[in-house]
Amino acid sequence: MQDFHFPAWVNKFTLLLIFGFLGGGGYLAACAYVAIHPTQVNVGHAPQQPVPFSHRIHAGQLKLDCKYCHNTVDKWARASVPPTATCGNCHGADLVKKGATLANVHGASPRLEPVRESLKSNKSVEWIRVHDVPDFVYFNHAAHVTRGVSCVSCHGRVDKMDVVKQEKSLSMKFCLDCHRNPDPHIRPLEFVTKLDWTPPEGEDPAVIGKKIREELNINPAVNCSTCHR
Amino acid sequence: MSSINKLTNTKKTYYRSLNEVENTPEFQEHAQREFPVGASELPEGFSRRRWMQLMGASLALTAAGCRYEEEIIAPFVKRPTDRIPGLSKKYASAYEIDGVGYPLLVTSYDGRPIKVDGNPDFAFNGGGSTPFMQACVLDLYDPDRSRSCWSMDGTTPVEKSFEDFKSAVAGLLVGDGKGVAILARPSSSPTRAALKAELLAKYAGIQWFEYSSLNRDNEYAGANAAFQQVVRPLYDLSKAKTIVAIDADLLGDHPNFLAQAKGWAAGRDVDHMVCSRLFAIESQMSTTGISADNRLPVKSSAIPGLVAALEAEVAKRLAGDATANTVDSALPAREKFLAAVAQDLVANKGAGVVAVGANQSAEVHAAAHRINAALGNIGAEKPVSFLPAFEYTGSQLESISKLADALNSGSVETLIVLDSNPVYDAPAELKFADAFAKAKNRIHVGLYVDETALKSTWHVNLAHSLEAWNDTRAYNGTWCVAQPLIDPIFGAHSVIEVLAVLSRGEIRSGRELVRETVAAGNEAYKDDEAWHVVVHDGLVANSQSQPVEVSAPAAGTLAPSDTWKSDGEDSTEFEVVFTASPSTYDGRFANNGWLQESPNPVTKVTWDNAALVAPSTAKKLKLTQNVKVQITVGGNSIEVPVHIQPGQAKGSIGVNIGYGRTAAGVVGGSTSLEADVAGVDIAPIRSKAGWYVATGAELKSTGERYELAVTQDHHAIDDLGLKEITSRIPMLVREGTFEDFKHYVEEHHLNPLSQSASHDHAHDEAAGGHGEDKPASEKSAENAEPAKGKAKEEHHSTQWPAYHAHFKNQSLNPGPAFSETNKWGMSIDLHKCIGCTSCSVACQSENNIPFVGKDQVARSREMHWLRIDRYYNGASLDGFDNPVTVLQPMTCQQCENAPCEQVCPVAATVHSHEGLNDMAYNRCIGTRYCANNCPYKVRRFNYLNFSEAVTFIKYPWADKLTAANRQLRNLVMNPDVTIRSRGVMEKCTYCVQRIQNTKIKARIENRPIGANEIRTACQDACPTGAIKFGDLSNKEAEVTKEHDKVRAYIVLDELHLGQRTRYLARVRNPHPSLPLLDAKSAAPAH
Repeated sequence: MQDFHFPAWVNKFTLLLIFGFLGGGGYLAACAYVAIHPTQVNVGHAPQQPVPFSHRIHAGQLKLDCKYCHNTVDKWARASVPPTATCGNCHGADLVKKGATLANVHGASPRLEPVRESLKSNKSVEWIRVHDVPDFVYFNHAAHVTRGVSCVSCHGRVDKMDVVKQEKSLSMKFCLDCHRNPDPHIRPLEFVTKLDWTPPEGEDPAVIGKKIREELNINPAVNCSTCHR
Repeated sequence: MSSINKLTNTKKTYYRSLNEVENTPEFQEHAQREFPVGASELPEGFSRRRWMQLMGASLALTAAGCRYEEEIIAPFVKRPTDRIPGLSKKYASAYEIDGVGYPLLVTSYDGRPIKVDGNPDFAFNGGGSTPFMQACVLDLYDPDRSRSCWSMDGTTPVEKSFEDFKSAVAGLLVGDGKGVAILARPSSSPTRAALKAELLAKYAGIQWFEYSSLNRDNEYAGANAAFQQVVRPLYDLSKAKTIVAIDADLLGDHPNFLAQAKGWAAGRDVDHMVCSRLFAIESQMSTTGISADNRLPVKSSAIPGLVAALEAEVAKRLAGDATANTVDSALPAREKFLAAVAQDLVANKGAGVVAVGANQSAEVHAAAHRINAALGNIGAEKPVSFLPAFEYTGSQLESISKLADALNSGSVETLIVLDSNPVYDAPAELKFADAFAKAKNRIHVGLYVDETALKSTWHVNLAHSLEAWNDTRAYNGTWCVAQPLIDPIFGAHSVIEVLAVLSRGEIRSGRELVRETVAAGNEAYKDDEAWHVVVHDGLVANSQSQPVEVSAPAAGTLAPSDTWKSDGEDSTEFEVVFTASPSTYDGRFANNGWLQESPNPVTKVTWDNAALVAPSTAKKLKLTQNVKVQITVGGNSIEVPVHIQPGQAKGSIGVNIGYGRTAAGVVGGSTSLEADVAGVDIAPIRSKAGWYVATGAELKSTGERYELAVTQDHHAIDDLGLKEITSRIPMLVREGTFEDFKHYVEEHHLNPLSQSASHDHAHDEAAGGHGEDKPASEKSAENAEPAKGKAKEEHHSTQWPAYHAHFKNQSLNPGPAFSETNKWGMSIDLHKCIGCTSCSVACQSENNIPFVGKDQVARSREMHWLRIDRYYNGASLDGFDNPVTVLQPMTCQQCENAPCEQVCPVAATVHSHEGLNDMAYNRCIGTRYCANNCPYKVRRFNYLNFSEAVTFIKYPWADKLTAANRQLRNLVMNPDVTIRSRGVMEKCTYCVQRIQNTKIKARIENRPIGANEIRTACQDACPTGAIKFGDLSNKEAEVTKEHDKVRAYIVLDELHLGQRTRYLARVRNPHPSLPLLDAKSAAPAH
């Protein structure tokens, strides 16, 4: 019986096939990368909020501390978007609190209408979440900010943003990079909310971080159950 | 039954079930296949009963590309002080079942209750809980709950408001209220009592009736006969040395179960050489019988004769010479048992309890009181004392009969049914549904549109206990104030609010009503601060009632009878014993999936009630498992599937009440919703005369098969196949007698509290005492390496029962290294486990474990992370008909060198450095290799989308339940635990969410974690404190101390897996004349 041989004319397809497979695979990988990779999908997310609140003005120019509004950030898991009452402290629109009339900065601005409406109707302002990790990830803000990890490490220079934008991928790799090598990301506790803090001239942030880490006995774990429960 | 005889002749033979002994095809299938037939098929067709596993949510890929769904953050406008979003808080509350309050500690997450536990500040009960307490939170979010008030307009219900109800009753309550009757459940709520008094004072014509089908009429009548006052007995089992439970499920369905279980465990501190003795004389195999040291199955109908004989025997011994107080070994077995009971009671005068169950007649109760009084067991400092019966208003069976008579005579024009379901649970002979129809206005106030509501003209939806202010009295009389955890979801109102409308004609808030009564009881509580303390604690301080002084019991005699002396083998007439269901109670929890699926502690049957018959009865009648039988009593009959139950009294048939609900809901069954009805309603054969025990029953096989979903053979640990099982089980569940334990400890000079100390000591003895000179560090170094050269010196083990000899070989694989701190471990004391299943339901609640429905349980797909294995030991009095039973809670052992991890292809299950066997659900691809390789069979696989998690697969029937209902159901979920989706493996994690949260909390507060600060859900729930958890590197931790006890052992130690869970061997204390296990039975079978 005669063996089967591919006819010679098939040869001209060989290269095409190889390139087809490689190219097709590459194309699919590229598509997948663009469609699902955290750095592509998450970074740059900057939804329009119901109130055009500017962190640049409040945290940057006015130098309000992050914890003035996000006051549970060092207490438990969530930093918490502040209650409307916090806005009302300055944009109170003649509301009276404990006998004193609240300040009424930009009292007539139409942009603050949702805040005034919320204070009057007792209905929440519906903010849109910007930094969103999957529900099977249990991130605890307090565990980080009380151990010298600054807001800026995950949220970037929010004090320079008019519209809050996600800067970091917040992917598992992003978390693990820091958990595996935490030293460069740890700073003295008093500077945690000081987003523009830089280490003193000539000092290595990793050296400072290492010192604090030893003082506070910070040993970030990389167990599954550290984040997934 | 052919192989039964084979087994009865061999001693120390353990078996899990009769199927196993007979090696039926069903058992072989369960044992040999990791996953039973059809385990990976989708169910065919749709049945509403299974709606919960069939829910599939649709997640369309959002228009915004592949990002997660955009989430809205809706912060408070004004956040309450101290409120931290996402941090759960605990509040005290209370739950009442038929006049007995159970103080609760409820966990609330962002304003919704998600977990219920016992209030640990209530020292009487301890922090433990019953399965009903654990599961009540699921009822709160039940989509089947009644959502509005309505009244019938012709044949159609018209939605009404509570205001409408107010004006409707104003029209009905005229003059002195004649023609109006109220039926309520018994309650000890002082507020309800005050409002009732107010109402009856205002309208003298109103008739008030109280009824629960699980009443304790006999108990109260017995107390009344003995002491001329109605009192409830309080058994302090911690003070008792001899406990005789006669048809009394003291460690099961008794209303004071929690305190009794706690006291019982306290009186059995074997490590300090204290151990009471529990005799159980009962017709049904109960958890009390399982926990007993000696058990005698006797027909319930023969028990009066037995108690009469016991009374005579005790009197004889008390009158006679104390030194001659022995047991004649020549007596026939049953008489010897009675003599031993009497001997032990007399030997422990003043430290004994004779308790009789609610199913025995008043005369038997009175006789028990006389026995206790004769033995000097009654008194404030004695094991038996008496408390006022708060909820008592007379015989409830009489009450419901009077109501039926009044309805039939036409004297009741308006009947208001407060939170009761008489159409379902009133005695059948009253034909309550017909009588009910004779009232013109039938007003039903209830949680559900149940059988009674369907026949009513008005319905008011009732607020759940966690939604309303209320108060109640705990068993010891402590006044509990129950605050709501959430506003009524469906705008409902509570019973006291309804009563306020009736008596005052105004809508009052429950809070004001409760506060009024509390302040009326004590002026001090008018002060806001004092009131806040009461609400915070959930208890009015020092409000427990003082024991009632009782006179010497009235003389009397029980008619003697010798029926108890025969084992009932030759009787042709059967008795039927009706018992409370551990799942549905009297039917009120029928729509609770956690409870329905919680295996019966004894039979392991889920979703059904069954006719329990003794193996020899089954043999005689040629009945086999899962065949329907017809039970006929007084001409009426029902058809129930048979479950052959070892330990059942011969000639006694046991049936759980509380099944066969036709208007419970989609879970428990509903004809209008086309949902399968769970179980069979026993009402036709339950008459007033035979309310708890019906005699003269006939039993006949119908030949029809009915599959019960029984979990006992699922997840069988049989590493060497069926032949090995019987020899292996004694190594898995280790037990022995107290006598043997004492002897062992003395002989080997052991310290029962410490294996390591005992080890040192034993070694020193062997080396002639020189060891004392060695420095401590050197000693411990030796202990760490016992293998080399020292083997000869180690002539005995420091463990009891000793099985060590088998497993000298060391593991070849040393396993990974672990952190020296935070070494999490668990201990489970089999000696204290009574099998109440609270731990299992608590685990389900804490860890978002779905219930899967009967069909899925039958396919071994139940999801319980914590199961309770049950093993019978046939080597006892008379083999199968009275086996010794041992229970073993089984869950992930967190092996350091875990077999499951080695086979996971995607590293979805790997170790944490603290020794936990972590499970990353989102990484699992569902190969199920891990479950195959797990020697404990504790891994559970989501065959279907049991929890309504987000999934890409949308089932065609997903729309059957509206999105709103699904959202409502999801509110019970614990947000600290991931909800698992289809195709994902899951298992116990030692409540890793609690570990991590406590760790973080301690870090934020810059302090170390307390030695016993972290508690798992099962540990919280356990009423006897059998489960301990903590850091094994911390010498102060309870778990470390437990692990070191001489009774501690590791299940499947020979696998050298570095298991982090240790079990403590069970100790039985049988009467010396009634040997239960021979001395050698503790040793392994060779």
